[in-house]
Amino acid sequence: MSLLGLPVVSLAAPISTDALIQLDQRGQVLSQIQTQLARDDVRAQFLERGVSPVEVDARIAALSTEELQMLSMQLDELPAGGSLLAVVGIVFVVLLILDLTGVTNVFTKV
Amino acid sequence: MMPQVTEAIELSDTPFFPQEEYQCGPAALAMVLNEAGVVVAPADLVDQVYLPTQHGSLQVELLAATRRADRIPYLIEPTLVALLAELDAGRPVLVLQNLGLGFFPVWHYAVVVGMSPASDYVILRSGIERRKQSRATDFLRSWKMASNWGMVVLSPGEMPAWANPRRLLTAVAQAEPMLSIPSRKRAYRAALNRWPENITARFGYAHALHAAGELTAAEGNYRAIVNQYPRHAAALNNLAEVVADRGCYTQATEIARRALAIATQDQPALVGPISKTLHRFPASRDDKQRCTQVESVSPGG
Repeated sequence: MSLLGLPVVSLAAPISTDALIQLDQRGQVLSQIQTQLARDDVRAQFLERGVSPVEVDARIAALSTEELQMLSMQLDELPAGGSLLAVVGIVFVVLLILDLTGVTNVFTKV
Repeated sequence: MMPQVTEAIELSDTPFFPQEEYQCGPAALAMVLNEAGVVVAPADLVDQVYLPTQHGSLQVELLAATRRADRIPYLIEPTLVALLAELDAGRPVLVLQNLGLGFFPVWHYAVVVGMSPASDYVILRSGIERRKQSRATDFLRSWKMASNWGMVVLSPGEMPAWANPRRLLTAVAQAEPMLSIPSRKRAYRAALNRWPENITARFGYAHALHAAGELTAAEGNYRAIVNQYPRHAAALNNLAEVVADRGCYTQATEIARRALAIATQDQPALVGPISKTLHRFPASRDDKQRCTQVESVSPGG
C-alpha cells in the first residue's frame, strides 16, 4: 500500500521462462530491441505476402523470439505446405511423368 | 529397418476435414486441434496460417496457431519410432511431407493416424482422403525429405510419449505468452511432477503462480531455487518482484540488489532487466500488514 493507502500497481515484468532457457543454452538472451526489429521485419514480410493487416499482429505475437529471428532471415526458403495444386506448368508435366513411372506420389494413389 | 509392430494401430476417431485448394495446413491443423478438444474448422484457421503469395502455410505458423488455441505444440523426435510412440499414446501426428523431389519439392501437410500390421502401410488423413494408405517406404521417403518434421498437440499438463525435459520445457515456454494462466500452471506443474529437480520447471511454475496472484506459493518456489542455487540471478530478480508485490519493498530492494551484483559478475545479459526491476520499486514504506515471512517450498512440494 502506498502512503496514501491506495494499492500500488505492480509494474513487474519478471524474467520469462523462455529467456531463462535461452540463457542456459546459449549464455545470452535476445534483447528487446533485437526482438522488436525481428518482429517489425517479419510483419513487413507477412504484409508483402498477403497477410491481412487485421491479422498480422496476432499471428506474429504467437511466434517465439527464436522463430521470429529465423523467419526474418529465411522466410522465402522455408517450406510452405499447400498441396497438390501448388504445381504449375512444366513442373506439373515433369511430376506427372515421374508419378506415372512411380518415382513420385504427387497425383497417383499409392 | 521397420520396427516390429505386431498389432495395427489406427486412431479412427481422429476427425477428418477435407482440404480446400492449397489449404492442407488449415485442414491438418484443424484435425489435430479438434482431437485435442479445440472446436475449430479449417476456415477459422486460414487467417492464422495461410500465406497467400506462397500458396501454403509455414510450419512455425502451425505452432503459433496451436498456442493461440491454448494448447502446446510439441515437435516429436524426427524418427518413425517416436511417431509410433505418439500413435500408441493415442495422439495423431501432423507431419510435413515432400511429395515431389528434392529439387522440385511439393510440400504437403497430412495427419498420421495409424500403421497397419506388418508395418507395410501408414494410414493418413491427407488432402481429400479420409483414409489414405501409403506404403511405409513411400511415406518414409516423403517424410525424410521434409527432415522428418512432425508435431503433436498437447493439452496443458499432458506429456508427450517420449518426454524429454529440454524439449518439453522449451515447447511450454514458447507457448507461454499465449496460454491462459491456469494452463501455464498445469503445464509447469506436470513438468515439475515428472522432473522434481528441474529448475526450469520450478521457475516456470513459480512465474505462473505469480501471474495467478498466488504470491505465497510463487515466493516459496523461487526461494527453493535460490536456496539450492544462491547465485541464480533470474530467480532472485523474480523473487524480488513477488516480494515487492507482497508489500515488502525493503526486502525486495535488497534481493534485487543482490541479483544485480551477481548478474554483473556472472550474467551480464540480465543486468539490464534487473536494473529495471530495481527502478520499479516505490520508495515507500513496507506494508506491515501484508509483509510477513514466507517459508521456502520443499523440493517435493
